[in-house]
Amino acid sequence: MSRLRTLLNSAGAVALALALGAIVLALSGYDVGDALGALAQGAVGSVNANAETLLQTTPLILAALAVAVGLRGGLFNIGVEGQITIGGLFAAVVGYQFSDQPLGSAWRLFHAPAVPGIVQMVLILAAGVVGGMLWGGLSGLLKARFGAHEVITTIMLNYVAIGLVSYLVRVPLHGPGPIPQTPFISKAAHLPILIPDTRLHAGLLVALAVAVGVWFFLWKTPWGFAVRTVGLNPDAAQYAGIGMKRLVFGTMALSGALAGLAGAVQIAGVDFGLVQTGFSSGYGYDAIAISLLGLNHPLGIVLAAWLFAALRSGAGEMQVAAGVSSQIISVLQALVILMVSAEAGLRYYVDQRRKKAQTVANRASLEQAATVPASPPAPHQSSVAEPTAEGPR
Amino acid sequence: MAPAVQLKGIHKIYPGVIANDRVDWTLEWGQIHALLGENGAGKSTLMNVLYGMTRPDAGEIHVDGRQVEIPAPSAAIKLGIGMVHQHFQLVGPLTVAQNILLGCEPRLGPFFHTRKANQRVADLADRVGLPVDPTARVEQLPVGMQQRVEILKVLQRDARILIFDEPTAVLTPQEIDELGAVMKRLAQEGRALVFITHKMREVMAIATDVTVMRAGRVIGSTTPSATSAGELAAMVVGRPLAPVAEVPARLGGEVVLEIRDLHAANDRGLEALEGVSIDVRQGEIVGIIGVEGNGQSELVEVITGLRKASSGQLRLLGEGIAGATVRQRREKGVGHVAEDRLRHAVVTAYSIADNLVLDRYYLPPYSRNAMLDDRAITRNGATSLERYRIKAPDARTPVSSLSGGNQQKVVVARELDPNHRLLVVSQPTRGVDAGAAEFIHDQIRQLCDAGAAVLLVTNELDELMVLADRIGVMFHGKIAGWRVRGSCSREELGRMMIAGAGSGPLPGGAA
Repeated sequence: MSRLRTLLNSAGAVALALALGAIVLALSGYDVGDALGALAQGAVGSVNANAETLLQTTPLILAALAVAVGLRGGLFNIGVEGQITIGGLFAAVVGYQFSDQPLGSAWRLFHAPAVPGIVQMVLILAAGVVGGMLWGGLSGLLKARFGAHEVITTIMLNYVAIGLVSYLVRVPLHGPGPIPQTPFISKAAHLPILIPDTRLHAGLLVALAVAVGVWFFLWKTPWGFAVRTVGLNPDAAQYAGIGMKRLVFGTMALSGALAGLAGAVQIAGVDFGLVQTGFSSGYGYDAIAISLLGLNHPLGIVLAAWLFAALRSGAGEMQVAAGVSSQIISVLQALVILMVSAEAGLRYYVDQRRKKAQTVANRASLEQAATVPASPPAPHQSSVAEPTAEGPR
Repeated sequence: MAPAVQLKGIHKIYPGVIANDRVDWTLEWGQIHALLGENGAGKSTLMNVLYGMTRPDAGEIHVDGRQVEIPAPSAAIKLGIGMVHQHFQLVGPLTVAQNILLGCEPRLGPFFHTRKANQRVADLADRVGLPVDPTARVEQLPVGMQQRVEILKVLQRDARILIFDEPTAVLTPQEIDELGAVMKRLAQEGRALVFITHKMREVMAIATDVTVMRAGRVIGSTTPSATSAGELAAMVVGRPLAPVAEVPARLGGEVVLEIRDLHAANDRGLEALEGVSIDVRQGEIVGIIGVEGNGQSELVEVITGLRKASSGQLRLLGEGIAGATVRQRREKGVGHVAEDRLRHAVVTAYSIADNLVLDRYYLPPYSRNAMLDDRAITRNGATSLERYRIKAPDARTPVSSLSGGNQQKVVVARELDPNHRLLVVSQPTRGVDAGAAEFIHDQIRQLCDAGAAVLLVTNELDELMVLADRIGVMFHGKIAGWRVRGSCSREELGRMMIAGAGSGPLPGGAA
């Protein structure tokens, strides 16, 4: 009930953000109708547009889940971008080992031809999980062992990850051809396409399944209980005997694993190899906004990720068809976040108003009760108390 | 002369409860009026109405003979009403003068006029007879001094009607005596004082008038000279409290907790424990008392595993536990009622049921096959709700919506588990009403009778005198001396707390 209300409020906030965005567009001298039409067209206007939106949704869901797991455990993982990159690196390196194409100057770690595609897919995704887990776990270890703040270490490790990949794809992992990128994974390892003639792949199903899994983990398992306890009151968690160091490490490792999976899904579903730059294209940063917008809840995250993906994929169409700078999309995204935060403030204000109204109502019904001459104190107390039972908690 | 405050027919309803039921109440100038009642009896609501923090659904407020509306605290302050909050509203890093003049600072151009401010505060302190050092930093002052700053802050705004919300909850016995003297002087100067409290002793010692509230109504008003502490307590609870049986101090059985020459540092790295030795035996309650900051908190933290000892021995049933984690200690049967309930003992966003399994959620029946069993957790919650008479609609109610006394009952319900061999209890009845306190004391005694060893750390001499079999006084990180209950006076213990002197024989204590 209240969750439904939250959802409706968020939808209202998004609508308001779009309205404000329209004003920004108008002030910038664009035809608002054309621009928003193009945005909608690009986001949901055709089968392909929908597929592209869902394609973008996939890594955003996984990356935002990574942020959410951290936040639920009281840890602010800003290093999702780096963990996606390292996850992608591990996935690509494991993936191309199965390729029967020439590898150029890239390292061959093992030789395993003729492995079934499904096994390759699983191994690629698992490699991404391991990579992200190591990268996230490193921050967790630094925090648990030395008390280094995770915000600092994860940001720093983002740069390390990007620099590391940049070097690796240029020198030891340089595939055939002039472009600095890893060799491609074999065709058999590509994630299956869900809608023919689009790029939408089965990674979306993986992301949705993981969202359910994260929900189950956080709210239905003892480890999730421990994670949430630490996030809500670390002092009480310690007092109750929850091992903080292990939990901090574990939470960061799990968060990194989810981010790493996002990287691996991109390798196995869209990119098939790791290029020098722009692999993650900011998913790790959008993920923070998405997680907050989705109230750090898997269901909210799935919806918010779709919204951000729609804005992303609509931006291209808006640029092409209406000539609007794609930067405007960043403004829109910022407006959405702003409106949703404002909505939380507004809700507080409305609750206060309602409490005041309640007092007035109590007064009114009390006076009414007082005019009934024969009623002794006890009965009209209950008649006064009754309406309040439905009031705000 | 018109009374300072006259409340007529104050009525306030919260969803599901009538907090104030047509309350009539009068406060005269020169009175120190104690407001007694259990948690949830409506005292705080009534005072919040007077201070403008709550608007009543019906009723009239008269201040100094005039009918007034008090929609907000600012209006109350204009009417000369001041409130000394239980949780001090002070800014720690600022000086005393800066805190007192916050909001009406003397300025020198755009800057804070430090000299003028200090002078003004010194004058004020002089005038009302509450000496303070205006230049001291508030966070470095002892709690009693901080409260004095809080009082000065109120007086600085020319308050003539002062509300004290549980002013003694955090004070040591000496500080309580001082506060009593200050309150009496303020009243003699013609002000009107109200104080909310749970402690009969203070009512008898400080108040000129008493009003008892129960379930939102005024049960009666009287004067301390016309009644007794026992009568008042019975009025508060609505039934006579069982007289505290004069049980002779028990001699415990086998040693459960053995502490030898324990040393530990505090948060600032200074030595807080300087060689503590204590034995706690099966079936006995060992009380530890001391002025705050003499190492009691650190002692509890070292025993329960929240703080590392730098040296010394710690044995539970003969087994060394100095290196064990909190969870290992809990699994060996150590229960812990923490001093700071909201910080350590509960997760307020969680339900009662979840809080009741905070330390054992991972064990069957609460977790099976790597899954939480919500039904088992809720069932356990419902059982405790009933057994500990926690006032809440159901076990899924968040702890944040409970009163302090009921929150403490949740903690007690979890920690006074019959499987626990050692119970470390810190300030178990802080901010808890008389009825709930009696109940908690009973539970501790029962657990002890069932064979647990109890270490009770408290600031309440009264609590110690009714519960503890042996009493150790902590002073400067050591046990300054042991006394057996019944063979020592409050005054003697009080002296030992301040001076640390009188390290007498160690009856039954560690050699």
